[in-house]
Amino acid sequence: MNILMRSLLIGVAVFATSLTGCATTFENLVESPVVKLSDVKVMGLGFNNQTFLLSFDVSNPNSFSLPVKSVRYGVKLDGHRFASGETASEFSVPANGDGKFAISVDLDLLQTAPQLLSVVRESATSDVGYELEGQLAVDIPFAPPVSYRNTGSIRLRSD
Amino acid sequence: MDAEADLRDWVKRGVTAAEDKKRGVLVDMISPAYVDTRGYDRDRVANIFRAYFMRMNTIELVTAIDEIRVFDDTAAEILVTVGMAGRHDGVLGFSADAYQFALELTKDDDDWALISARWGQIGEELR
Repeated sequence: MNILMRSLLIGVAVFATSLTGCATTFENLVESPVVKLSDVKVMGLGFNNQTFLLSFDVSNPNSFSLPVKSVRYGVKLDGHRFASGETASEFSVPANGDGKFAISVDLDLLQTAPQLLSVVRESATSDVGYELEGQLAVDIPFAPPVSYRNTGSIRLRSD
Repeated sequence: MDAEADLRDWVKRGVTAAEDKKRGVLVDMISPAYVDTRGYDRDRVANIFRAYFMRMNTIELVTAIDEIRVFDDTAAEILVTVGMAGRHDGVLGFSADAYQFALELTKDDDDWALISARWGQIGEELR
């Protein structure tokens, strides 16, 4: 079958199915996991650069394992934007089970959020509130990214 | 029926079973020895099918077989593009969220069975 004929047939099939109501939706395929910020470890504190290791716990409510290919995250500490970004990952959370992942972030708080420097100092001795939100890109065909959101309190750790 | 026609019929049966949510039919099309580079086995694939069928009201797929390669009439690879009905950029093309699958099949007891698969969104490397 030549390319033109095949394209024509695909076009007819797409057009025909588009007339049937387009009821296929994969938005609900994956139930959102519960993601918690479990640890913030100060790896290095410099004048122009601070390195933190953010650790997360994930609970998968789905009856199938959740293969994650990237993580988008945003963390606020005490109401101030602390860290955000997207990182490629390759881990899997077991069906109806728990998993962990960690992200290392380099910040220049003096430039980006000087008010957080005092928060970081204080949170070494007392808990500080956090807000977490983001998306996990799931390596399952047609599954859209699943969103997560959580709040809690955390104490920064430096060994 | 020659091998290529047989394999086209196999794909058609799979699409029909998916759209009819006949999970048992689909699972029977997968070899018990199925394994892929992501670490999936037949049971894990069957669990994913269960999620699709439980969570989706309807499943309507648009498929196009890109290539069929047959080796000694007992092994085959099918390259197929699968898109969701209603999600397309134009009448002649698949949307960017369509997937391409490379399906590896073996012929046991006179019927083809899926033994491994690689997949990725269009434009991505299949793995």
